[in-house]
Amino acid sequence: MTALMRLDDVSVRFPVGRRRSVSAVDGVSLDVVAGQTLGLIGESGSGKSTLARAMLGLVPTATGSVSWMGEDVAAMSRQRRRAFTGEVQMVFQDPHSALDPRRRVRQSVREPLDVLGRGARDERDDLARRALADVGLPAHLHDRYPHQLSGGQKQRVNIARALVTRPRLLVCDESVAALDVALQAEILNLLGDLKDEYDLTVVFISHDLGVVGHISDRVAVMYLGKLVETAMADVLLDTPRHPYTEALLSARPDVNETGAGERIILRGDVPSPLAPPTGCRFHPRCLHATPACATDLPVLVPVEDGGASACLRVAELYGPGPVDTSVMGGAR
Amino acid sequence: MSGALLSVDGLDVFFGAHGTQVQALHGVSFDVAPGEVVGLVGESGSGKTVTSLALMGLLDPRTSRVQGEARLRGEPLWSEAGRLRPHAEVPMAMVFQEPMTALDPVFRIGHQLVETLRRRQGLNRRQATARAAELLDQVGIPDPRARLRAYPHELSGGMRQRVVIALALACSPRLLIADEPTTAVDATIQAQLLELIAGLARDEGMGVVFVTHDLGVVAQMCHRMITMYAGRVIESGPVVEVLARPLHPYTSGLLAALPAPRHRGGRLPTIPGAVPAPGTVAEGCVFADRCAHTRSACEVTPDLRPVPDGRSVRCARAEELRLTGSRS
Repeated sequence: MTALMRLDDVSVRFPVGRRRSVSAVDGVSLDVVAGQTLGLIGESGSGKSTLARAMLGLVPTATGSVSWMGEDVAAMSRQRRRAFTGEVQMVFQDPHSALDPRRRVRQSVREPLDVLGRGARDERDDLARRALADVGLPAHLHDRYPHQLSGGQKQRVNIARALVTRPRLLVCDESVAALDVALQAEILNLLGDLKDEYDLTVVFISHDLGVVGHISDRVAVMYLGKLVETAMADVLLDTPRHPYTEALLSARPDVNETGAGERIILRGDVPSPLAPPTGCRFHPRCLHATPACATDLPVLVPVEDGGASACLRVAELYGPGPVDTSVMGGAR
Repeated sequence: MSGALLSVDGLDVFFGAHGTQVQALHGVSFDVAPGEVVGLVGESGSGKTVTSLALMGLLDPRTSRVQGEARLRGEPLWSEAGRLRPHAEVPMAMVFQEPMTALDPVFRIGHQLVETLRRRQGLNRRQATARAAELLDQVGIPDPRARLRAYPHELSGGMRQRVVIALALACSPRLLIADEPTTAVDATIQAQLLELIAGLARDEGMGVVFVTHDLGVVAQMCHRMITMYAGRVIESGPVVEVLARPLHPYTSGLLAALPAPRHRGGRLPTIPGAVPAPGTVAEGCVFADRCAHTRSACEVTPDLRPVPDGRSVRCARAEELRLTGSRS
């Protein structure tokens, strides 16, 4: 297991008014393992999209570092940084707004190559066509404008544009959230195929546990800017070891279980990241909170099956941790 | 059915003016009993939202034409001449998908609730304010008195959707049409809202038409489900039965395409192609060109026909096909 990208104590802060700031991501340490698909799950305000942007170097980190194959991204030379942009690409949520309506889709797909100045124009055009063919867009659609394509076709174009630079890491931010079930299945299948074909490492961000569980090897759960649990996908879905993950799993309406059933329904809303709760950030909504949870800051501790959980009562609620504490599901 | 709260019979909707018309709904018929939650399921373009807008009388008569019959507690909602009664007297209400656009951003939520209550219930300001606070309390908003003074942007998405539900409940509707009310909110908030709506149906005997594309939500919330495709009802029946043994290949396809956390990896079965544009299918089954089971029998336009266990299906081959259902 080699880490392609390594996040070390990464925090991202945004200024809010004068002298105040909001911590969108707070002290996240995580490895993105080469060849794996890492699922990032969390509700709005959990910091999952901000973390993705930090991975791509699109937002400056307040603390900590992001390193790409051992090299600190923030310390890269301009030239090196340019190459890095080609190696790490992103697919966004909304297939409609991510494309320039005034450009033919082939031009949009070629653009990253134009910017990176790779090869001659003809070669770039060829590469763009090849990428579009790889995502299954028939040749007669390559010179269409976005409004002439369906939502699924547009998302294919977005994926082609991300792949045209031959990236090693693909970050998908809610890339299937705007699609109908049948289309969503098509795009998920496509991503699976492309992962093998292009030898990709994927970070897949979603709020949908079903989707994340299906596509990921490993899952990291975020809550209010903090990493609360990470584990292999099958382990996390079967035996969650953090009360928040447990509630998320329980709240998910499952087509295989009819009727209301026994569900954990959390009280209240996700608190504002502007004034995060003291101690464990989840404690005001947690069913297992004790007075200590309001004051003590939980850290990620290793749990069975190679995962990690940031819960003060983890041993009490989910059994004692493993003897070998070196593996923490890529979290540190 | 005489016990029905809402009964819709042969609902057709046409769009377009100046001679060119496309038909968006084709003879949609269904009933909702008091306290019953009926799920309306389908992809974008299947006609779920048009159905709810038509029932609410929210389609613009200049660009659309509604045919067929709909009765609420036995009373027709419209006649040849148009809507029969002013909205205020019809005991039904709608919850929309996007809570930010359903609320007016320049007025405090208290004002919006009080205005509705005064106009439609004839309450005075003091009574209306008290009732507004009660409604907010009923939908689970903490400290309702203080919240009345909040503007929509000061509330979270989940809170806003609660306010929209409170507005819908303001006139004690007997029927609630909820159009994807939880699509824009987070998972843990969705669980709260579903519980709230299910509770209102259970405790107040309110009938609910729940429009959604999420079969998981249907499994959890609804008693009966209606699958729509290209403006037609193609399958209906009790949720438990339909999900376990779907009779229409489209319902089965939607179920199969759903990623399930406990069945990881591998390829998901898809439904090739897309929903046909309104007016493009003349003869035969509308789903035929996307269906894996198409035979010559499918060239004849199928009717929605009753099958045992209170179900109905619009597929010529329903009995011979053994389709896969949910994996419970």
